Amino acid sequence: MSYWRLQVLVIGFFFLGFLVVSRLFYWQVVHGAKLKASGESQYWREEEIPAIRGQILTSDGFSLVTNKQVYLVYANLSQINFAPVEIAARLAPILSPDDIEKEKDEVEQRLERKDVVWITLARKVSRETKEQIEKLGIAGIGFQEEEERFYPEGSMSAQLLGFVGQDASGHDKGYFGLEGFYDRTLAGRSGLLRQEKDASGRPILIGDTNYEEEMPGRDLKLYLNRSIQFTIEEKLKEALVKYGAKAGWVVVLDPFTGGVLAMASFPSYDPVNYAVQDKSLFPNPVVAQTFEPGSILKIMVMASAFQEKVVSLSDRCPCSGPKTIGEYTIQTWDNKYRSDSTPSDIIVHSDNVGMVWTEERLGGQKLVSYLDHFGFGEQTGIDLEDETSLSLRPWEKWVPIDLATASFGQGIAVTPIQMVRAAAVIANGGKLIEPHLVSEIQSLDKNVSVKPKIIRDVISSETAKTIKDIMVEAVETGEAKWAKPKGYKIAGKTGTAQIPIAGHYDKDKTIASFIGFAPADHPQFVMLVSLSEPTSSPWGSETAAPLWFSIAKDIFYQLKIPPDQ
Amino acid sequence: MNKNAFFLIFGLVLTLAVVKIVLAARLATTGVKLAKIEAISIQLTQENRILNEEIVENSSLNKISSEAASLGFVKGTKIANFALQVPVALRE
Repeated sequence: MSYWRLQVLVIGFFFLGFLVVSRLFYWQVVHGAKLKASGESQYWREEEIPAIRGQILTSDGFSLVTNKQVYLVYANLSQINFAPVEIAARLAPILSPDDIEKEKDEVEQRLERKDVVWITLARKVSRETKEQIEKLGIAGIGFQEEEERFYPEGSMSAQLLGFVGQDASGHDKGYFGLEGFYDRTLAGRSGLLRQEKDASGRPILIGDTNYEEEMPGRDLKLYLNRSIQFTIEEKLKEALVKYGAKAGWVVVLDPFTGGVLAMASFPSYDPVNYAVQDKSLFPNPVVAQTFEPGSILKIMVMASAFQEKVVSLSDRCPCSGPKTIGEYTIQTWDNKYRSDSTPSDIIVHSDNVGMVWTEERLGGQKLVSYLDHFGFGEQTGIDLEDETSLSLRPWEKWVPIDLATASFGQGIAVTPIQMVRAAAVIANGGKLIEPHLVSEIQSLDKNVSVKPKIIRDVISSETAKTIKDIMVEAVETGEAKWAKPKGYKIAGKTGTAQIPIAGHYDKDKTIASFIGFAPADHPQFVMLVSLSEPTSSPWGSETAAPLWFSIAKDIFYQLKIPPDQ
Repeated sequence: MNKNAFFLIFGLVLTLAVVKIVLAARLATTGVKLAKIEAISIQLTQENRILNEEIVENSSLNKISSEAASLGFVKGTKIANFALQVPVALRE
C-alpha cells in the first residue's frame, strides 16, 4: 500500500473517531441530564406519601381538631363491567342523596371518558358511604385512603382554630387562626416512595426502592380550657339574642402566664364548610378587629396617674360641671356632676370629667407613653395569624381634645386582646405579658413547652393593688352590683363606647363591655366581655356586666375557686 | 483423601442441605404467618382509629350536652362550697 493511501486511511479513522466522540458528547453531556430524566421516568415510579397533619388539643388533652379517615372513590375504566349509565344510576343516590340527577350526570360523564384509564369519582367520602358502595359490588370501582380535618366539637372556636384549605398546587394548607399561624408545624413533611416499575407501570418487587419517610405534623396543646370555652360560647350565643346585639366576643386569659383559657366571638362560621361561608367572618375579631374601648380604658389611665404619683387616693377633683375644651364640651354619662370626687369615685361613677382632670394632671406626653407601655399600638405577639394593630401617633400630634377623650377610652382604637392583656397588668401586679394559645408543641420524639413571656414592667405592684381595690369598689357599689356573684371578690369595670360612623359618633350604637379579674386578691383569670350594638340597653352595666358575672359563676365552679368573702 | 473423611464431608454437606431445606420451608411458612400478622395489625390499627374517632365524637361537650338535655338533665343551680381547713376555735 502506498504511503499516501495509508495517510488517507489514518485521517479517515481519526475523522470517524471524532464524529463518534462528538455525537457521544452531544448525547451524554449536552442532552445528558434531559435524557437521564426521560429514561428514569420510564422505569422509576414516584409516589408522594402525605404526612398526617398534627392535632390541636385542649389543656385536658381532648382533640379539638383531629383527622378522620375518608376515601377517594375512583373508577378503573378498563375493569368496569357495567354500562356507565347503569353505574351512575347506582352510585349517585349514595354519593349525593340531595341532588341525585346532577350527580348521576357527572358520574356518567366521567365514566364515558376514553382518554384516561383511571378517574376520580368522588373525594372525602365517609367510611359509611364507602361501605355502601362496596356492597354494590361493581367491578373497577376502588377506594384510596385520604385524611380530612375533623372537629369533634363542631364549630366550637372556629375563628380561633382557622381551617384547612388547599394551596395553588392542591396541597393542604392552613388558613387563619392557629391553622394558619402554625401551618408548617402542623403540616409535617411528606414522604417519597421511589420504586422501579415494569413496562406496564407495576412495581418490580426485586428492583430498587428508595423510601424517604414522611414526618407527621406536630400536635399543638393549648392553654384552652374546654369547659370554659364551651361555657363562654353558650352564654355569648344566648346573650346576643337576649340583648339583641349584633356581635360579641369574650376572652379569658391567665394573667400570670398569658395563656388563653378561652376565646369566642360571634357571628362565626363552620370550618368544615368554609368554602360556602361569608369570608368576612374568617378573621378572628378578638385579634383582627379594633374598637374604641370606652370606660374600660379608664383603669389604665388612672393606673398611669397613680404610678406617676400625680394623683393620690385623698385627692379631690373639682368635677362640678361639664368640662369645655376648645369648641367641645365633655359631659358625664348620666349628666350628674359630683364635686370633690376622689380618684376612686371617678372610677366607681365612671366620671368622664374626672378622667379629663386626671389626664391633665398626668400630662399628654405621659398619657401617650403609658398607653404605649400598656401595649396599645403594638401587636401582642399572640400566636394567631390574623393579629392586627393600629400604632399610636407620636404625642406631638395629639391635640388637647384627643388627649381628653382618650382618657375615657374614646378616639383610640384597640383590639380586644390588647385590652385584656392591659387588664392582666393590673391583675398580675404590673407586668405586661405575651398572650399565648399554645402551651406545648408535641411530636413523637419530644415535647417543647412554650414558656410564659414577660415583656416589661408597666406599673408597680403597689399601684396595681391600689387600682385593684378601686375596681373592687366599682363592682361592689357600681351600676352592675346586682349581678355580681355572692361571696366572691371581683375587680372590674364597665364600659360603654359610642361607635364612630362617618366622622361622628352614633348616639344609638354602642359597644358595651365589662373587663375584670377574679378572685381579686389571687386572680386566676382576667376576662373581657363585649357586645356590639346591643338593642335592649346600650349600657355595659346592663348587658356586658351581667354576662361577665354569669360566665364568672361557671368559671368559679369549673376552676374549683371557693368564695373568698 | 481417605474414605472416612469423604463420608464425613458428604454427611456434613447432606446434613446442611437438609437443614437448609427445612429452614427454607419454615421460613416460607413464617412469611405467610408474618403477612397474616401484618394484615391483623393493619386491621386493628384501623379499628383502633375508628374507635378513637367515635370516642372523641361521643365525648365532645356538644354531644354530652345535647344528650343530657334529651335525657332530662338540667344544670345544677345550688352549689355548696366546703372549706378544707376547719377552724380550731369558733368565735361565739
